[in-house]
Amino acid sequence: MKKRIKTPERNDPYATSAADMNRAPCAQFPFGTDRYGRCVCSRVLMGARTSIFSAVALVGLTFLAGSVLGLLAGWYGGMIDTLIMRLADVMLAFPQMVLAIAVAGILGGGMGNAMLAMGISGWTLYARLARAQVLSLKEEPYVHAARLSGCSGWTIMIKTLLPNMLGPLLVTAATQIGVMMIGIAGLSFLGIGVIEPQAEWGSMINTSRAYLQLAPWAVLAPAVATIITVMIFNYLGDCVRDALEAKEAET
Amino acid sequence: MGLDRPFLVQYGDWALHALRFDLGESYKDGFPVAEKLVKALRYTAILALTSLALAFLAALPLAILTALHKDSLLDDITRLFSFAGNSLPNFLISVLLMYFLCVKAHLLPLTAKASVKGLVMPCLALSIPICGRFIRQFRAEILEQLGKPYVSGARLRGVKERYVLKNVLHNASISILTIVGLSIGTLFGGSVVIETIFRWPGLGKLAMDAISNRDYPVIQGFVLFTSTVYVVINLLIDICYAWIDPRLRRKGGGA
Repeated sequence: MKKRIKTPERNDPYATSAADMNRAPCAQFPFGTDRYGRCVCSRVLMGARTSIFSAVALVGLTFLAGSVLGLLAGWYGGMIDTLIMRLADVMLAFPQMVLAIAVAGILGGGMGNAMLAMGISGWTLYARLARAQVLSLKEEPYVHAARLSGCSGWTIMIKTLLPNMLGPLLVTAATQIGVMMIGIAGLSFLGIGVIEPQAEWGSMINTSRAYLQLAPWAVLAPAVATIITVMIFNYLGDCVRDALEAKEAET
Repeated sequence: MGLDRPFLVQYGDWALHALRFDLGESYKDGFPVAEKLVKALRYTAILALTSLALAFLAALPLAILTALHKDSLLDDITRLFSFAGNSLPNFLISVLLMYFLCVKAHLLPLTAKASVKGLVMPCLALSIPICGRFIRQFRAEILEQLGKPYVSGARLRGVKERYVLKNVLHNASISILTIVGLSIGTLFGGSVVIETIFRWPGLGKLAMDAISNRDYPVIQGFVLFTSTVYVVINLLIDICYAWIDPRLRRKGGGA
């Protein structure tokens, strides 16, 4: 049993082998091999690192950037508000995937560019939400109290406002992980995300698609991995939302 | 082509010409970009509208049924379907459809030669994720309306269930329209992927070909064109709000 778990270490996900091209699943290659004779199982496991890390990192970055910008826009108002929110409006005028495809297409491949392409409009979601939250929280007595006691703008924003508006923002972030994962995998599938031979589920599905008749396992393994992972993250999002809503109903 | 000029000058030049509906010429074959886009728009419109109609027509009855019979077996099955549909990337559905319908069952052609038979798989692939989301959101909206006092009032007075449902649907239609409007962006993005996979000669395929050929005028034209269509559709939807809800008309438009 222990040996089975160690499989990915035994098979190098990047090692090609002309003798093992398009091999059906067997003991040595649990999910078979692809057209270059690479172990699909190891590549799916390596791809998990790329796919999950990039989606989580992207959500984290857009969450941070969007929340801070929304916070600033809501708190200071005036010019800053107009500048940030009009920028957000411009980004929202494009359908997200269309903009992402164009940006990734023009910048060229690579995980960093794909993430940038998805994030360029991703932050607006958090910015709008954070701004709306700040505007409604601004008139709360405790915010006035904090102001009267001489707290600076930054202190109020970070210590008073942020903890109170984190709930809805976190719910949005949790539900976005699945969406971003699908988006990045979609870009990679189109060939404008990660560059081969880096293991990533979207690009694995794309490159193995041409050999669907010969080696369906090379498509099905990353496909099933993507479906299960996105489902788990979507379920996580639902759970976070239910938990926070229940908590809000209690208080 | 003026590629030696500074970036900003080139961009300004492009923008000025775009204002006069002149999107320049394709680097690859010299055809005017605007002409190419308009030609491709027809195919994308067929694909997108069919998929949207399919998703909507499948989702609405299911949403009504599951909202009326909450926690029934049908409700559970539908919930599972909509959850799965929401988690499936459309390119994955395409590949799975190709595998099961073409490779295994030999039912349909692999690529879509602009025909009805070729339209089946791209439409399914494009509409399943949208349908999943629709069912979920429509159901939530109808349930919310069903919980309102006017529904219990009407039921107490003995109004037939059919008329109650009519009122509920009318009141839910604003939100339903919003949900449909929000899916337009998904539809455009999704059609790029789907058209590339099935070789459907629409806007998305044009854009992907342009990207692989580094045909920048076509990419720029595609983004401008798609966004314009997107904004115009959203504007039309906003106008529809006033048409559905007379209250918004009096106030001179909502927020």
